[in-house]
Amino acid sequence: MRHTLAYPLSAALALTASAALPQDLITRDRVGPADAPNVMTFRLTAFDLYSSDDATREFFEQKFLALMADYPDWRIETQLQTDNIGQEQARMLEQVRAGRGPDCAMIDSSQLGLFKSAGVLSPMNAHFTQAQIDDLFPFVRDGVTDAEGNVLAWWWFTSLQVLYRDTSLVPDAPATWDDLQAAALTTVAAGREGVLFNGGRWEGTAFDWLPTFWAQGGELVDAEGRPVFNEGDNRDKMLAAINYYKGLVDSGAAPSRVTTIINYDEFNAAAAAGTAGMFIGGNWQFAQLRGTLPADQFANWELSELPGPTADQRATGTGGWTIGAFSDDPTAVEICARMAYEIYATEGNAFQGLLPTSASLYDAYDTFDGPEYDAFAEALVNGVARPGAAIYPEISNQLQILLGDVLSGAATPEDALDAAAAAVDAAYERL
Amino acid sequence: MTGDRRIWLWFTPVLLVLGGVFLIPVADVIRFSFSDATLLRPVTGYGLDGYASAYGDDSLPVILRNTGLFTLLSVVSLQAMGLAIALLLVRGDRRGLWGMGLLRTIVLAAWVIPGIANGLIWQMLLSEAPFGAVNSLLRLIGLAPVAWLSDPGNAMLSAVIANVWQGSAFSMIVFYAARRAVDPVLYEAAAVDGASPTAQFLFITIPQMRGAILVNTILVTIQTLNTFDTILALTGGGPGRATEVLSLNIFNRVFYSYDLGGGSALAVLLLAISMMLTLVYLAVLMRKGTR
Amino acid sequence: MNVTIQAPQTAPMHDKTPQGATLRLRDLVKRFASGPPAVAGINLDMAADEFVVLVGPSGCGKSTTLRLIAGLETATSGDIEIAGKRVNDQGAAQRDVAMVFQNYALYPHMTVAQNIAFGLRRRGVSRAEAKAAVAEAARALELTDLMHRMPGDLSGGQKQRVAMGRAIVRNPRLFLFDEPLSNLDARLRLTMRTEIKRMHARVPTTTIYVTHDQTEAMTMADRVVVMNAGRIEQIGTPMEIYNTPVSRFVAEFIGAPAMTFADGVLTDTALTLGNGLRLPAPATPHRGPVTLGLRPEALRLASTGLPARLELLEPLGAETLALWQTDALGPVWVRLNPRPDLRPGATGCLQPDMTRAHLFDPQTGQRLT
Repeated sequence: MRHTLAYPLSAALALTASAALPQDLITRDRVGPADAPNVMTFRLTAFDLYSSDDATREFFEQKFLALMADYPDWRIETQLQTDNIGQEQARMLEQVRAGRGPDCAMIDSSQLGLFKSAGVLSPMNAHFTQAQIDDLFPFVRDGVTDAEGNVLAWWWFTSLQVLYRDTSLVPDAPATWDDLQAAALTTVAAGREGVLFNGGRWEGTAFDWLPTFWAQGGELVDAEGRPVFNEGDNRDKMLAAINYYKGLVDSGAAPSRVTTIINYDEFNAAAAAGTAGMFIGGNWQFAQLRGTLPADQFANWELSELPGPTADQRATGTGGWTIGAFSDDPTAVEICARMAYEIYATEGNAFQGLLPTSASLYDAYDTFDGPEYDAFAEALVNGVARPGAAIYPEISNQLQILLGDVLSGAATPEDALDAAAAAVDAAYERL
Repeated sequence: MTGDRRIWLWFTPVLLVLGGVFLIPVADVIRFSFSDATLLRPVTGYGLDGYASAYGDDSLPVILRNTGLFTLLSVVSLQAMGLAIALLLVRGDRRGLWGMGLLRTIVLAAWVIPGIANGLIWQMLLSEAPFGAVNSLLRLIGLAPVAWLSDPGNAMLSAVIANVWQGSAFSMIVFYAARRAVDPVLYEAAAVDGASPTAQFLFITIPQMRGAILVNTILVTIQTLNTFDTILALTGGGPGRATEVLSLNIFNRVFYSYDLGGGSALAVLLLAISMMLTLVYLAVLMRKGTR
Repeated sequence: MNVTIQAPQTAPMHDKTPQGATLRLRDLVKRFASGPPAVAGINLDMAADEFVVLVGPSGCGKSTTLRLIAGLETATSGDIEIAGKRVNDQGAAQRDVAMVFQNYALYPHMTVAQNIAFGLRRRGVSRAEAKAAVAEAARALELTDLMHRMPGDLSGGQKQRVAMGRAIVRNPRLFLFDEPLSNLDARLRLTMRTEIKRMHARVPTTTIYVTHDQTEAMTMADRVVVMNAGRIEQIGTPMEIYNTPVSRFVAEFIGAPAMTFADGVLTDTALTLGNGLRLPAPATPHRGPVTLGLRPEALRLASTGLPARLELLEPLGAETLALWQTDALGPVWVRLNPRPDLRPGATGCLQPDMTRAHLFDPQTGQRLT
C-alpha cells in the first residue's frame, strides 16, 4: 500500500494550494491544473467529491488534491452520474464498448459482472499487494477478480442486509426461519405489525429475499450467466424460499401490506411510530434509527444476521460500489487504483461510516468500533453478491412479480415460479 | 418560382426542429422495433423477432387488460372530475364566492407536481401501515381500514385515483375555458323556457361543450396511455402485475431486460394507438374549423 | 329575404281565453353590488293582453325591470305579481313567461324545430303535441322551410322570427321583448315591428317590450312607460306622452325631431326669453322663470316672428323637416309642407303657436300647467 504520507512535501503543498486556490484546482468538472497536458476522465456519483454536505465535500477535495500532487502533469475530468443506476451503468457499458467511455469509473457492485464479462476492464494487479487482496471478504474477492486472478476493479465499500428487532419483545436474535416466524407472532400478539420486509415492485424486494435462496446454496445463473434458478435443485430451493415468505404472510407474522413496501424508509417510519416488531433492512439503517428514534427507544433495537433455513445455513445480500479502469494508459490506471484505495476504500469509508470490504480495515479506524460493526463484519463472511449477469435485472423484475402475486394470493408459488422462469428465459433469448 | 422557394426557406427551421425533435426519434423507435438491439449492444440484425417475442409474451393480455382498465377508468373519472370542478369554479366565479382562486391554484398545483412525486404522495396517503393517513382517517370515523395497495383490485383503483387527482387540472382548464365560452344568455333563455338546472346541464352545457369534451377525451386518453411515472412510484406495477400498464411494461422491458428491440415493438403499438387518436382529434378540429 | 307576412291560413293557435295575465309591480327595487340602484322603486299595473313598451336611454333600468319580471334577476325589494300572485320567489322556469332576447339567444346546437319545441318539451308537453304546435307556429311565422336548419345558417330576420316562434308557441302568460329589433337593419326593423304588432293583434298576450327607440315605443305601445335613472318618469298612451309630457326629460326623449327648449320669464302679459324677445303669454296661471318647449309642429313660417336663417332641409316626401338658426332659440326644427323654393341660407320669420307650447319648471324640469 502506498501511503500518501510517503510524499509529505507534496501533500503539504497540495493542502496549501487547496486552501489558497481550491476553485482553481477543483471545479465542477475537473481536479488538477486546467493546463495539465495529460487528461483522464473519472465518472463518479454525487455523494463524495460533489456532495451537498460541505464537510464531506471538503474532506474529499483535500484527499483528491493530496493524491493529484503526485501527478502534476495530470488532471482529472470528472463526470457525474445520476441516481438512475441501472440506466446510467447500462449506458456507460455501451459507451465503453464504443470507445467513448471514461478512463475510470464507479461501477455498482451488482453491475460489475456485466463489465467483467464484457472484457472492458483494465487489470489493476500492479497496484495492489497479494495481502490486500487476500484480506478482502470472500464474496468481494470473487467479485473483483477474474479466473486468472487479475484484479479488474476495487470494491471499496459494501452494504448488507440484516434483521432488525425490538429486543423488548424479541430478546434473542432468531437464527432460523421458524424462529423468525415465532418471534414475529409474539410481536403481533403485543400489538405490533410482526416482521416487515420489501415485497413490492422494486429491486429491494428481490435483493432482501434472495438470501433465503442463497442460504440453501441456490444459484440464479450458471457460469455463463444463463438463468438456472428453476432447474433441478434450484427449483426446490426457490419454492422453499417462496413458501417461507408466504408462510409469514399467511400466518400473520408479516402484514399483507408488505406487497406495497417499495422503500426502506417505511421501516424507519414504522420503528419510529412504535408499530414495527422486526424488519429486514440494510446496515445503513442502524445509523438512521439512531438519528430518528428517541434514545430510550433506540436502545431496544438490535440487529443480527438474517436467519436461515437452519442456524448454520446463512446468507446475506451485499451491495456497494466498485471502481474500475477502462483506460489503456498505465498512469491513468494507476491513478484510478490509488483513488479507489487511498481515497475511497480506506479513509473515505472511515469518514462516511461506510462498510469496508476487508476485515482488517474494521480495526484500523475508530469509526468501526461500535458493536454493530462486529455484527456486520461477522455477517459479511456469509455475504453473497448479486450475479453480475446481464439477465439479473430481469430476474429481479420477475421475482418481484412472483412475490407480489404469491403474497397477495393471486398465484400459487409453483405457477408464479414457472411464469417467472419462462419470462426470464424469453428475455435471455433476446439479450 | 422564387416566391415559392422563399416560403420553403421560412419553413426550413421549423421542419428541422420538428424533424429533429419528433420524427427522428419516432423513426428510430420503428427501426429499433425491427432490430435485435439491446441496451448493452448495438444492432446486429433486423427481423420480426422483437415483435414475435413482445407480442407473444404470456403477460401481454394481462398488461393490455390493465392498460385498458386504467385508461378507461382514468379517462371517465378525469372528465367527470374536470367537468365538476370547472362547473363549480364557473358557478363560484359568477356568485363572486371567496376562495375560487385558491381552489383553482390547488387544482393546478396538483397538475405541476411531477408524476413520481404524485405517486409518492399517494403512496404515503394510502399507506396501509397502522399510521397510514387515509386509513387512520377511516379508523377515526369508525370505518375499517382499506387494503388500498396490497389488494390487487384496489391497487388499480388507487392508481386511478392518484392519476385522476393529478390529471383533473388539465380537464378542468379545458372545460373551464369551454364553459366560459358558452353564451350566458343561452342559460337565461333555457331558464325562461322552463328548463330545470339538470335540463340546462343536459341540453345546454353538454351539447355546447361537446367539442371540448371530445377533444379532451382524446388528449386525456393519450396522456393516460403514456402515464407510467405515477404508477412506478405508487406501486411499481404491483402487487405482482396488478397495476402494470403498457407504458410501464415497455419501460421495464427496456431497462430491466435491456430489450430495446422488443420494447420498441411494443412502443410502436402505443404509438399507433396514440396516432389514431390524434388523427381523430385532428378530424374533430377540422370539422370545428369549417363550422 | 322574403319577409311578407301573410294572414294565417289556420285559426288562431290558441283558442282559450283570456290569453295573458295581469302584471303588477309594487315598489320594485333592484340594487347591484355597486352604484345607485338600477331599479329604484317602480309601480306598474298592466291589464291582461295589454302591450306596454318600456322606453328610456341606456342605463335607465328598463332591461333590469324586464329581467326582474322574467325571473332572471332577483328583486332587492318590492313585489312582482303575475295574475294576482306574487312570483318573487319563483325561478324563471316557474313563471310561465316567454322572452325574446336582443341577440335572439337561439340554441346553436339545435335545429329551428328543436329550438321552438324546447320550451314545450321542458314543460312536459308530449312529443306529438309539441310537434303539432311547432308546425303551427312555424306556419304562422313562415318558418316551415327552415325547420331543419341550424341557427348558424339563418339570416338575422329569420333568427328573429325563430326567437318569436319559440316564445309564442308556448302560449305564455307574459310575453317579454328585450330590444328585439336592435340588431336588424332599418328596413327589416320596420317590417318586424309590424309583424310583432300583428302577432299581438292575432294572439293577444300581455306583452312588455323594452326599447331605447322612441319611434318603436310610439308606434307599438298601448301604453308607454318612460323610464329614467331607475324610476318611471311617465306612464301613458303614446299620444298622452307626446302631447302632455310630464317633464322636460320625457318631452326631450319622445318625439323626433326633438323639442326645442328656451329659458324665459313669464309675466301677466308676456313670456320674455333670455335675449329679450317677448312672446305672447300662454294660458297659464304660472308666473316667473319657465322653460319653454316647442315641438317642430308648433312653429310655422310667417311674415313676423323670430328672425331665422335656414340651415338645412330634410325632405321626407309628404313633409319636410327644416333646421333653422335663430338668435332667440338657437337651432330649431320646424315641420313644413314641401316648399321647393326654400334653399339653405334663406331667411324668414318663425311664428310660435303658443297654444301648443309646453312649459316646464327650470329647476325641477316638471311640467307647468
